[in-house]
Amino acid sequence: MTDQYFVAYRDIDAPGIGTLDGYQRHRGYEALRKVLTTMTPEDVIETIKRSRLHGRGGAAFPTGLKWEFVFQDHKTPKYVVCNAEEGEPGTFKDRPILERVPHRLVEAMIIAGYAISARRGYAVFRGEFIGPAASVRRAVAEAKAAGYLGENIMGTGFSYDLQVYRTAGAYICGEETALLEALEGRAGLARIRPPFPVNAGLWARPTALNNVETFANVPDIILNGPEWFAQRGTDKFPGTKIYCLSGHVNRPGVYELPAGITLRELIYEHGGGIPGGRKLKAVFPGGASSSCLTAESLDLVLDYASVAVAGSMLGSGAIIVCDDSTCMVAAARRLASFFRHESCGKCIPCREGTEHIHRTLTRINEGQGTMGDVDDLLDLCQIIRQTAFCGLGQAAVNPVLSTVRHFRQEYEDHCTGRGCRHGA
Amino acid sequence: MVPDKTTLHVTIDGITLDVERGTTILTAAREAGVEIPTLCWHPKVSIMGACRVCLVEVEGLNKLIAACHTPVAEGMVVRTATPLIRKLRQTLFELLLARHPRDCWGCDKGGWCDLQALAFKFGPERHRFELPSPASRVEDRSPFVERDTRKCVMCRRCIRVCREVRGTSVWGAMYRGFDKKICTFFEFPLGSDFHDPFNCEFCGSCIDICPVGALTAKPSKYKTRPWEVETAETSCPFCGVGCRMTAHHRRGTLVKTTPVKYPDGNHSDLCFRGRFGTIHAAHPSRLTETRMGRDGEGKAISPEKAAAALAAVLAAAGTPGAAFVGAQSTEEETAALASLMASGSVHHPVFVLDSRGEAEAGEPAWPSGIRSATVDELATAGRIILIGHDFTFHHPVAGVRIRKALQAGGSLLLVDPLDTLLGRQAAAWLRVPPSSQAALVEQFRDELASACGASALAGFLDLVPGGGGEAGGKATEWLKGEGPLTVVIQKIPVQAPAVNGAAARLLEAAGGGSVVYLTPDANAFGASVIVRGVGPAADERALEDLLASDRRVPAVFFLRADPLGESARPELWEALRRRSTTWVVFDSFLTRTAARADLVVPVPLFTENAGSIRAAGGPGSFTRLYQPPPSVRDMLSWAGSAATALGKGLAWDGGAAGLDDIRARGRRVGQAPPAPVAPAAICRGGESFWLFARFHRFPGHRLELAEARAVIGPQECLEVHPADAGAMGLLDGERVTVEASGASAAFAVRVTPRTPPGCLCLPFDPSFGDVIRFMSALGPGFVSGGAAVSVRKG
Repeated sequence: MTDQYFVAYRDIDAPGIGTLDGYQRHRGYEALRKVLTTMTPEDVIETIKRSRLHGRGGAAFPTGLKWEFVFQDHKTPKYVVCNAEEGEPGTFKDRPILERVPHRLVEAMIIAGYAISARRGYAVFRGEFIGPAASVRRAVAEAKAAGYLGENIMGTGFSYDLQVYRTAGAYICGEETALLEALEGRAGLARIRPPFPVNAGLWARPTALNNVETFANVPDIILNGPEWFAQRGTDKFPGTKIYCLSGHVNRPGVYELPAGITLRELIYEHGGGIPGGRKLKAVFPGGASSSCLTAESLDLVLDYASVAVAGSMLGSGAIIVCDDSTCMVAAARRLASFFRHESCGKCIPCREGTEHIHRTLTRINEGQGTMGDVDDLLDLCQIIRQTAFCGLGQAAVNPVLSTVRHFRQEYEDHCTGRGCRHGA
Repeated sequence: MVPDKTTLHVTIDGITLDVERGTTILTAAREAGVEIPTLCWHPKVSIMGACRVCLVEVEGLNKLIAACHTPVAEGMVVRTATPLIRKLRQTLFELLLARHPRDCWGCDKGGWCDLQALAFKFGPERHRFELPSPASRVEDRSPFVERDTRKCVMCRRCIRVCREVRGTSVWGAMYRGFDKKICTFFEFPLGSDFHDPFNCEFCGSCIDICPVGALTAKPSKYKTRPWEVETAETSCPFCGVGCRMTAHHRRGTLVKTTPVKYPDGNHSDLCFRGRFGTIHAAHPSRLTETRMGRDGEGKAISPEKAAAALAAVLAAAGTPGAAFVGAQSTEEETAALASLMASGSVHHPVFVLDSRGEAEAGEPAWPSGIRSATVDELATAGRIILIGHDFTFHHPVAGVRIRKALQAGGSLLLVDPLDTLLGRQAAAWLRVPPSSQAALVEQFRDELASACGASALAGFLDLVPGGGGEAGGKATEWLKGEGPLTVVIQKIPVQAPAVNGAAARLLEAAGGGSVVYLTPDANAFGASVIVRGVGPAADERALEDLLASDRRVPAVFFLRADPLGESARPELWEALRRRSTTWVVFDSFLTRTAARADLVVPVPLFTENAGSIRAAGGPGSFTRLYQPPPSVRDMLSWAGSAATALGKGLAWDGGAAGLDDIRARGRRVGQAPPAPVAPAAICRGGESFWLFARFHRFPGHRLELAEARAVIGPQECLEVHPADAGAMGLLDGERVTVEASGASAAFAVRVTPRTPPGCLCLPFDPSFGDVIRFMSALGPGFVSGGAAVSVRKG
């Protein structure tokens, strides 16, 4: 069994790590000191680029490259924004960082600010993250009192401030441009891209917008060097990844593992297998918006590229396991109700389509549907995938399309009066 | 950044064309004659990309591209008519139609509806997704805008036009996903308070831009179908902005007016007057017959008898009478009446009155180096100084142009005591009441001339109610900036000459610039020029003398002027009525003035009367859409037959050349601006407040007929800023007594940030008897200036 290896989660269980003193006992703010006293912004960007750190929010964009784009844009002021809108069902990897080692995020966001020459950063939380936001707010206050934030940090002439902001709480705000809209005080609706946030983000200024987990990797990359970071994980996806394991497993939870372990190892070794010795039926490897995989894909390597080749996506690393007692029609309906609720309502296909998906699935689930409904559903889902304005709508149909693809028989059973074999 | 002008090649459905860099696929396709459907896109507003019906295929890309917001790239090959595109368009319209009420036959938008037209062309062949028919939810509270949220397709055009073009932000969206709805702030009723700065101004822009029947115009509801109406372009008959508009008429009746649609979306704007006020032309109370007899008791007489009666009045008036031309009359009508006044043995003075019953002097004669600009030119002005009073109420479309200039990088120095939303966009906003505005502009000139850093302007503002604070410093900084100035002056009674003089001196100090002079009436410039051109013009002072004297005036003529109904000082006109033997009124409606006349002669409506006008909007013209009733004749015809009955000829024969001669004679050349005035209102601090009036009667009778008064008319109250109310412990609705120089009156308080601190504002229209009485007790200077008053509770 591959051992867990902690980078983003390093010392997360150490006593007192949530406070400034405790964090400093565990090399806290050493990376910041190193950056401010020995490195130029270009050095920092170069280090991150050499580490080949990829974004952990779902798109896996190279972080160093993103910062370089922002650095090279001539518009000022520039901003650092942290996406702490962890809202994908099945994802709970950022919350421990925010609640237990908030200073790691603060430190990383200061480093990012230095790297792109920003003077201000925003940590944006989903509305429901009251505790995590309070934790980071406390850490910001401590860092400010200790001189890590504010004017002339550590006497280096670099000034930087951080602000914590909680949005009203909507899944769409996890989409980066919707998050920026919300941060600017409007309803979270995705913006037209391009321009991308690296060129025109917050208040149309260059913005480095990264996930919490991405930021949390930064201090140790600075401390230990990019080569140290890149020696773990796979060639294409170096470092560790935090997997959120949930559903029908014996030991659900968060696991920080070198990227590139297999689904089988994660579920059966780290997760302790499926309760009651039942058989695995389906896995959603990237949360509610990913396509499900079946037991045939158990030897799949869990990095972004491999999961994409298998026809799904790793997303934020939310692995939801369904055993053979699960009715996939009911599961699809449940996920469809989530997307119906969270569609922002901006574009026609997502706003109207998610409603019809939910209605049709409800009808099928209740045994009132026909196979014609299933065909209409597939047709509609394909159109939504191709026409929706943002990633939310495009991905919202994945659970439906994949469950029909892999478990068509169950749909037929519901539609032909044979009922649900799971009694759901 | 300098835009790159290089040409790009693009192929759309096999048609290759060259377009400028930055052109979107949609624009290129329209140039190529390829139709791409759009729903949320509109040339007037920002691009949203929300509806997705404009998706196209681009060779080499594995995803579909929205044509509305994707710029063309070199060598791009676009396909818009593939089976995939056809199918997804069908599905998108199928989704929209699944919950759209299927009652096109009962929808006022039918035939004009984008969704109907697009669904016909691109819509589905079958409907797979059914939803239970939504319950009827027509929110029916405003007199102008009818809402039916069931028909809404959530394109958000109304939100964008309201925010981006009009600056009002009445519309927004609430809830999410399928439950989303476009509504007002927390679904407050539309227009619950017209004078709240964030409330609906009933410009109708959202109605014009709505692609479906979700927002429709109530006054024209069910009046016609699109294929039954005829349309023609004409000018708006109301204010001096002179918007062009499309008149829709059917069987000799005006149905509605809409903005002229320009392809680029620019300048396609109207305000509540042009959009809804014009419907007065279809009102059944319009006059069709000449009536003779005192005080509206008159009996109808034939047109021939009417001409004879006119001649008799003129012949009897041995000593000079007077004629008053409303500044909304056309140039031709003005010339006809002025010629008639000059044709008798006695030359009667002719005055031009604005629609507030005040003397209208027309366009000031600007010294050389100062250019008179039109309202449309404002949209491209760089640095604007706006001197006004309740600007967006009186000249909303000029406000739209200014907002456009600001969006294009222009900046604004605003002088307006009242909060009209432009203040938020101004570089500096000085809330100085009208009485101090002329003196303030003189200060601007000093500020511009002085090289030293110390600001005298801030010191001046500290003395003026509504001034002070940071605004003075900002204004100084702004004035010292670079770039040519455009000064916008709103005509305020009596104050205007002083402000004009100050503005002329300011622009001379700045080395030139342009002026836009906004009058309340559509033909303010034209009417004054014509009156001066026909005969010796009677000026403002002569009017004051006439009204103040006690000499008998045998005959008084009015042409589309209603001082008894519109003046802030009706008592002066009542006195004139008592002193005169005969009143003759030429009008289309029985106004308050017409009701007191001995002879009421009907003239055509603006829809029946071709004629030219001129004000700040530039030359305009009314189009004759349909013939007036036979007993209604135009002014030239009345004047001609009256002159014939007198055995005389008219000075103007109705020819275009003759009118040009009159215009040439009446045009004023540049002259020295009037001398500076001392500020009328310097009083600040202590117990006293500066009280000023907010006059609210803008072509009153015509708007009243359009049923606009209930919505846009003022409420009787005294407006107090929250800071002052707090200091005095006043609550909304409490009564206070206002005292000044022996006069006192009690008013209910309305606490509102609309009024500047240190000032009290008294909104009124001429029907507010108590307010009028109090104002006349304060003296004749009050309406145009103001007065220092003290206030006590109770």
